[in-house]
Amino acid sequence: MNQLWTSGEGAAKEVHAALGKRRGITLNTIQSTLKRLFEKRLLERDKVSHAHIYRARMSREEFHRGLLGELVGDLMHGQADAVVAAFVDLTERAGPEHLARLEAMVAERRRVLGDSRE
Amino acid sequence: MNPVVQSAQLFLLAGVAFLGLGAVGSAGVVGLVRSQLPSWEPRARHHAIALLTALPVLTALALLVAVSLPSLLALGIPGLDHCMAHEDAHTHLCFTHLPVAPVHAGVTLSLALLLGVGVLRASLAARRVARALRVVGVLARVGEEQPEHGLTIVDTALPLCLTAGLLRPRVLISRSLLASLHSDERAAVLAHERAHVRRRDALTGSIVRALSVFHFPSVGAWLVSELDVAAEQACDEEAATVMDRVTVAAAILTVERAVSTSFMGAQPFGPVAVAFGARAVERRVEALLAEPPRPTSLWALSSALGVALVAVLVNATELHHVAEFLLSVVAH
Repeated sequence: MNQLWTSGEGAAKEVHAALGKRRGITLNTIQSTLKRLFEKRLLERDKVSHAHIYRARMSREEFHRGLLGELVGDLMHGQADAVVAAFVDLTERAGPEHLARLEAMVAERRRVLGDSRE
Repeated sequence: MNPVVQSAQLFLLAGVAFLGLGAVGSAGVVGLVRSQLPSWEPRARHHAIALLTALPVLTALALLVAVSLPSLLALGIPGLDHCMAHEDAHTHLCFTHLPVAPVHAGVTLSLALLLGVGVLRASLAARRVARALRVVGVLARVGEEQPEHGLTIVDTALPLCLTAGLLRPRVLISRSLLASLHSDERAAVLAHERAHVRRRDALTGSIVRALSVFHFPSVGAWLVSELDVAAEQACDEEAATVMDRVTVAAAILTVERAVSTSFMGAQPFGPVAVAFGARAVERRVEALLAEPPRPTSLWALSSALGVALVAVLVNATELHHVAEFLLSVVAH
């Protein structure tokens, strides 16, 4: 997927030339992987002469957003919290009043310490 | 029924009863320390909560070893075998003298049901973990890896910063959040996440979540939520050794505000304002604005558990006979 996002599109041979030789992956493996990704509707393809030309069906950001949405959804329903530690808990919000009070406390502490940052 | 199966059922029944006893005892211990625990230094609190969560299982194991001790000793020293002094129909909790009287069908059925429910719940939990790990693995592979900073950047407008994975945890941070943080706050957030990686908090959290099912639901839920807060605060303290405490507090609030704004009204990620959620961020920020916590010793808690273990093992013979009597009443 990364290779196709970078190059835009490519046949199995081109993906193999860019990735396979460097990583020691055979052309057959690249072909079957592309076919599996096509079957999972992550890639689309056109037949040009005897070769299939593959391209990603969605942008890298859309793909990331979908995966993160899945992960965040699981976190929100308490189904992924066993393997993920979020910097702030996604299921609980401090609320605007609490947040403003805490920000005022930080600003006050900075004022006392002579730190000019907001 | 096969005497070996009957014996296994008796040990299993004893194990289940000891787990229940452990849950009751643990609820008592948690009730005693519940008011003091939040003031403990985060790392010590994290260790203590992990220990408390394991208490029902540790209690059950200690009692099982204790009631099996006379039989185990008799295996090595035949002279210590006391089973011959019992009558033939005695409910032996023994590895060599197997019980003769059949176990009641209701008991067998209840044990099978309990085991079935346990296996089902464990399978569902394992499936959820496997699914989350798969998503994290794909995210890490497709993200932009920055090994020099020990993180992977993902392209999304969601302001996310996570440490994910059990054995090889990774820091995943969204490009949008990275861009919105002041350079000092960014350093604080990354130091906090690296602390999660170093401490393997996700692995500890998974084990604690698995062990929490042996507690009463309210006690287990409290232990898990307190463990999460303790882990976050322990990482805040580590971040505070890299950046100053006020900057770490400011970084928490910047991310909290970004998450609140981003998720506002965007179902299914709508804001969920709950009392504990408010307290989790408040506790972290207020602790960072207060004086650094003084180290807390776990000596008293460890000593109390050690004394309890010794007391159980010293009274192994009495416990063995009490367990045999109670099993004879319940199982037949």
